[in-house]
Formats: sequence, C-alpha cells, structure tokens
Amino acid sequence: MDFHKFFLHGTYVLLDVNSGAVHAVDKLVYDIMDIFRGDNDEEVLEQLRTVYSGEELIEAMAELRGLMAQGQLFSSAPEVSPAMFQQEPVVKALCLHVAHDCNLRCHYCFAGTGDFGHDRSLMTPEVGERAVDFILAHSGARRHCEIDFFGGEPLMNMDTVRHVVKYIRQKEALTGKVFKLTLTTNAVLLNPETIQYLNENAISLVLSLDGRRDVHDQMRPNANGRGSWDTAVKNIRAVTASRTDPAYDPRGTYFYVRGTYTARNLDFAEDVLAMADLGFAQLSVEPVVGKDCDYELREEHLPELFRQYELLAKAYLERKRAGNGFDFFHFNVDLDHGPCLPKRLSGCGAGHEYFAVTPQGDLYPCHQFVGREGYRLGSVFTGVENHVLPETFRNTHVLNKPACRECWARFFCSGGCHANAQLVHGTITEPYQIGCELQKKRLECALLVQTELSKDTSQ
Amino acid sequence: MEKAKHIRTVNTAKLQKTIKTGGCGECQTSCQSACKTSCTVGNQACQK
Repeated sequence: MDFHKFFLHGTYVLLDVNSGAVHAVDKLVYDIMDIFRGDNDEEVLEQLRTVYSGEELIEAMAELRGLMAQGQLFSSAPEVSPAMFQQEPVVKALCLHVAHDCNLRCHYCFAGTGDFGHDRSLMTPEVGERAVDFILAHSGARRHCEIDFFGGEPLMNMDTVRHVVKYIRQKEALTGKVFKLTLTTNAVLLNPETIQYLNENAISLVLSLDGRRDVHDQMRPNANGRGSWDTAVKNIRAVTASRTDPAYDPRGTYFYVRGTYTARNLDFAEDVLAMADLGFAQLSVEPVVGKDCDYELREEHLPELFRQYELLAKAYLERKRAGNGFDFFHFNVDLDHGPCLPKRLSGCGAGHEYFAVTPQGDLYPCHQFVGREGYRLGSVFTGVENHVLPETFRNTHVLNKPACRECWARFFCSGGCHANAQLVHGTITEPYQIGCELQKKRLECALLVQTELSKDTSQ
Repeated sequence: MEKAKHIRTVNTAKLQKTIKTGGCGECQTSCQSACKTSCTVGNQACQK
C-alpha cells in the first residue's frame, strides 16, 4: 500500500504517495492505518476495539473511504508510458565552470579546492560563447534556458562572466529565448562594483556560508589558512541588503545563503539559526558528501542528524508564527503547485537536460562529475559524443531503480543525486543510502511544516 | 457531506493527472537552485 505516516511534534501526518495528497489525522486514524486496507473493517474493529469504541472506528473508516473515493488514499500508481521518455531530450541548463581555481581551500571541496583534480585554469570568453551556442542549439522549443556561473570561484573570472552575459543578452534579442542566470560564490571577492553589476544584470545568487564562525572557519579557510567567515558575512550582508532594498527590482531573481554540514557540526540546526540571526532569511544547508575522511557523515550520525532536522522544523515554525521567520529551502515543498510527474521522474536532468562545462569546454553530466574518469560526454565545440551515458542517466529514474521503486519519498526526491551514488557505489543505479535517509527525514519535516502552516491559514 | 472529524486534508494534489497536463519542461533545473549537492525536486514550483 502506497502511503506513509509519521508522528512529529504532536502532529500525525498521512501521505498518499501516488497522488501526493497530505492529510493531518488524529491518533485514532493513525492507529487504524496500521491495519486498514480499504476493505477489512472487521479486522480493524477486532484489533482496536479494546482501545477505541466501535462507533469511532466505523466513523473514521468512513472518512478514510471518502478519501479513497476522492483518489487521495490508496490511489493507483501512475501509468507511465515509455513514450514519455522517447521524445528528443532538450538541454535546459548549463553549469559553466568559469574558474577552476578558488581563493579558498575548503577541506570538503568536491572540486579539490577548485582545480577538480587538474590544473588551475580559467574559462576564456570564447569557450563561454560556444557554451551559450550549445544550449541555444539544443534547447529546442523550450523558452527558458539556465546558466549557472560556477567554479571553483566564478568571481575570479568576472571578465568572462561579463562577456558571456553580454553575449547572452544579444542572443536573447535574436532568438526570443529567456536566460535565467545564477552565480554560486563564496562571497569573499564580492565588492560594491561586482554587487552592482550582478544586481543590474538580474543574476541570482547562491552564497556559501556554513553558519557559526568557528564551524565555517574550520572548513572554509582562505589560501593563507585564515578563516573566511568575517569577509563572507560582511559581503553577504552587503549584497542581501542591496537586494532587499525597496529600490531593487528583483526581475525574477533570488538569492540563497547555503551551507554544508559535516560530521564536525552534527548540531547543524544551530548553524541554520545562526545564519537566520545574522539577518539572512533565505537559507539552505546540505549534508557533506565525502568518502574515507574524518568529516564524512556515517550511519551512526543519523539519529542526531534526524533530531537536528526536527529541532529545525520546530524553530522554523516558532519563528514564522512569531513574525521573524526565515525560509529553509528544503522545507519549501509546494504541495499544491509542485512539479508535474514527468518532472519528478526526470529529476535533476544531469547528463541529458543539464551539463557542466569545464574551462576547456568539456561537457560532463553535472558539476560534481567534472574530472571523474569515464564521464566526459563531449565538448561545446563537438557537441555530445557519448550517446550511451545520456540515455543511461535519462533512464535511471525512480521507477527503474529497485531501491526507489518502493520508497515513499520517490516522487519528492526523484531518486537522489547521481553523483553521490556514483561516488559511494561506483554506479548511478544504487542510491547513496545516508543521503536517502536524510532526504526522508527532511521531507517528513517539510510535510509537517506545510501541514502546520496550512492549519494556521485555515483558522 | 458531514464535516470530517478525524482527518484534515492539507492539499488535494492528484499527481497522476499531471502526466497528461504536465511535461512542458519550462521548470527550473533542480540542482541549479539553492542546493548543489542534493536535489529535492518536490520543492519546486510548476511554471505553468
């Protein structure tokens, strides 16, 4: 039976997996759901009659049957035809590695402190132009194209960023396409001139900060070994202030302050709250992915990490209700207007809708695969040359992965991160289990948050 | 219909129906958003 139920912070929540319907239920219904299968009322009555009255049980089961009639409980699995995956894929997004170099030496950097295991290098304006041409040539009828300026540290190569943005605006005028631009930065090199440029050019920002000063500085030192927290916070304050100024026209842009937590700060909820206390209201933190290192997250850390997500959900609701709330990316599950099923199956699109481009113009399935042997797919000069891997990525969705097919979270997580799976298991078909467990806990907290917030608005 | 006493439905999603209504592909690429290490497709909004 495709449902999931959980109890958290005094609330009983029931999710119908196939429809995505969420219900707040009482303890009676929660207990009934251990037994109820839609047509076994006698069995429910027999097992629970000593706890609840027959009248209550019959009443609750009638309500459950009402949900079944509405397709909101025990709903049938979606009928996914192979045709959904046979259409010609379109390229939606590129991650441009404009700098394989970085001014920081973060210990957990999957990019090998910026160089991705190779020489430190910068993308030339010409490679940037060819990358734009590549997405234009392969985005089909899709109107929106996305480019993320990434690194290393992209602010180390602002000349190319500026050149590519100018080229994109010219191409937008010629093609009618709309580019959404993002820049992911450690914020250390932000200055008033760059901030003004990024604001004027409608570039969304993902700003890296790990929370408390000591936590951040321990993992994110400058090349000289000194911590980067002071500078990062000063600059993030400057850019977020400029973007919350009433005079700023957001034009569809967003900014997020995002961090990474590791085994060294298992109490990461404190880091999220520390960033909220700094006045940053758009927040996200992610679990580190590491292998054979002292900061990697291990199975024995899970109970504490689960507790931290629960603490975070509680604090999130308390602060929202007190009028000093913040947004936490992973709790923003849109239950009513979320993505369609085709999107939930295509997931992140790595390797078929989404590619990373190295400074030399090489194409990889995503930024995390850059430099991993066997995953180079082609280049912006020659196009995609490996035609096997993109199909493999495309077909490695939740309905084809044994571990995902039966998981209640499959339509929210879309099978998790391929790069993490490959790093840990050497294959993208077997999900990274610790990531899955954290994802499920985060989702429970998100569903609780949305359930509670909907109660507030309905009262 | 009598008001439910034991259940409050938070949303009335019917994900299966979006096979027919969805798939326009205009939505944001998941990992391009706030997270660069873990994608949660479910917390994106439909662009339609």
